[in-house]
Amino acid sequence: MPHVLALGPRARVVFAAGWVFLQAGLVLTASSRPDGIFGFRMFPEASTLEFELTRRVGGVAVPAPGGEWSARDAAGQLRHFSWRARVTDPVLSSPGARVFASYGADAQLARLQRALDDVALHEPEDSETERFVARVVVWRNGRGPDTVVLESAHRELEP
Amino acid sequence: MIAALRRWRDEEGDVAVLGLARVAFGLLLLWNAVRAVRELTRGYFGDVFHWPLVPEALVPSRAVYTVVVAVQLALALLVVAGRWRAREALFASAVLGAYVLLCDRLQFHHNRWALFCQALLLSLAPCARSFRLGPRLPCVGPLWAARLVGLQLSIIYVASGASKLLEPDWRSGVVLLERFHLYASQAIAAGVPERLMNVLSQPAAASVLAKGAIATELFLAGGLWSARTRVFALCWGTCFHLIIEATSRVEGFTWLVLASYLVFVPRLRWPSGGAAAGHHGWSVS
Repeated sequence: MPHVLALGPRARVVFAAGWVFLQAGLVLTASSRPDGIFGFRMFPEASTLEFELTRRVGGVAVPAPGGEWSARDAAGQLRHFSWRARVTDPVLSSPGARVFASYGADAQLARLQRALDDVALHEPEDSETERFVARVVVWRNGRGPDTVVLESAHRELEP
Repeated sequence: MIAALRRWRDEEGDVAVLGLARVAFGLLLLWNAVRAVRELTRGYFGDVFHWPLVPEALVPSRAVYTVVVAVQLALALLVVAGRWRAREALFASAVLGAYVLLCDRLQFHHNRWALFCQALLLSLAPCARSFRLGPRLPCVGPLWAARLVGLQLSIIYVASGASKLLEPDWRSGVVLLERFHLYASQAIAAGVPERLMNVLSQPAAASVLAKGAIATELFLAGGLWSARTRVFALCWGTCFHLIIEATSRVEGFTWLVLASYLVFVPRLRWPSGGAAAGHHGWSVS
């Protein structure tokens, strides 16, 4: 009895052609993805970055040193918040530390942008922060530094 | 051309060595599942910032993910044992692994994606007839899927080599030089001689090494397929990956590549395990 994974002659050709087409497509379009996933671009860069987290409160930038901050909730109670409580990725969870940018600076900047939006969305008890801002210093392959500022989506705060 | 395609599609041969590749892939899948268990004990990725490629609704809950990881462990053991449904387990492992990557691209690493690709392709080859617990089975079968495993490896080499070739900082050695500066202390701590690291950390040396790495990857993509260059390519590639293993963190990629090299040595004969081993223990064909 043929094995369930034993393909017939025609299926072999169809599968192989589809597989090669898929892989070629993923490799050739890797540049269109900020982290180049599925592109097999091994060790693409040797870049490093460091970012500082700040909060926009009443239109004013307020530092959140080390990714820690305190803010009042809707009831006026002062609460403590931590970037690391929500962002555990080894590269993104280290505000204030210079870290290696795995898969390149652009990959980590894209991830950091998503992380800012994610934290803005998932800290409902912070009723003060209008926006999270990351000031990122990037050394691309040892050159730089260049500074990039990323902002989260605006948070709708209850009056 | 048509005749060559037909030959590729229909050719049969000795597939005994594919059993060894299956065991190696199974061990890598097992290691991957154990890593997932360790990470799960520290926290479930879905409870914190993650970045799914699939709609959020398709990201498993903590309970479902726990089951997924447990199933991955069990499947990897089935793959290694080879006695029952090993190929189906290999296929399912590949699909489940890819699914988890799609649920969180922060967990994406090229070596993991490569493992799942190779596992899926090997599951389509008769890889459970040797190096298995249980009776020995005939070791002649279709080679088309094993050739695809080799082709996937070539795709990886071409993609990696070409992307470096097209990147000026890579071609000139700047990327390697900076990596040496960043990781020299770790490499020395891992046993690489300090004097060697000092030499490698010179711009001229990094430039030569970068060009050598690019040439090696592009050569391996084709050199593994030619009967004239295969043995040299296998030896050179093995040295190349062992050096990378010693100097960089690539999870199981080195062992995945070395296991994938097995599909290029289908004529390799393995000593018979004998009648007793064939029926009761590891059957080595």
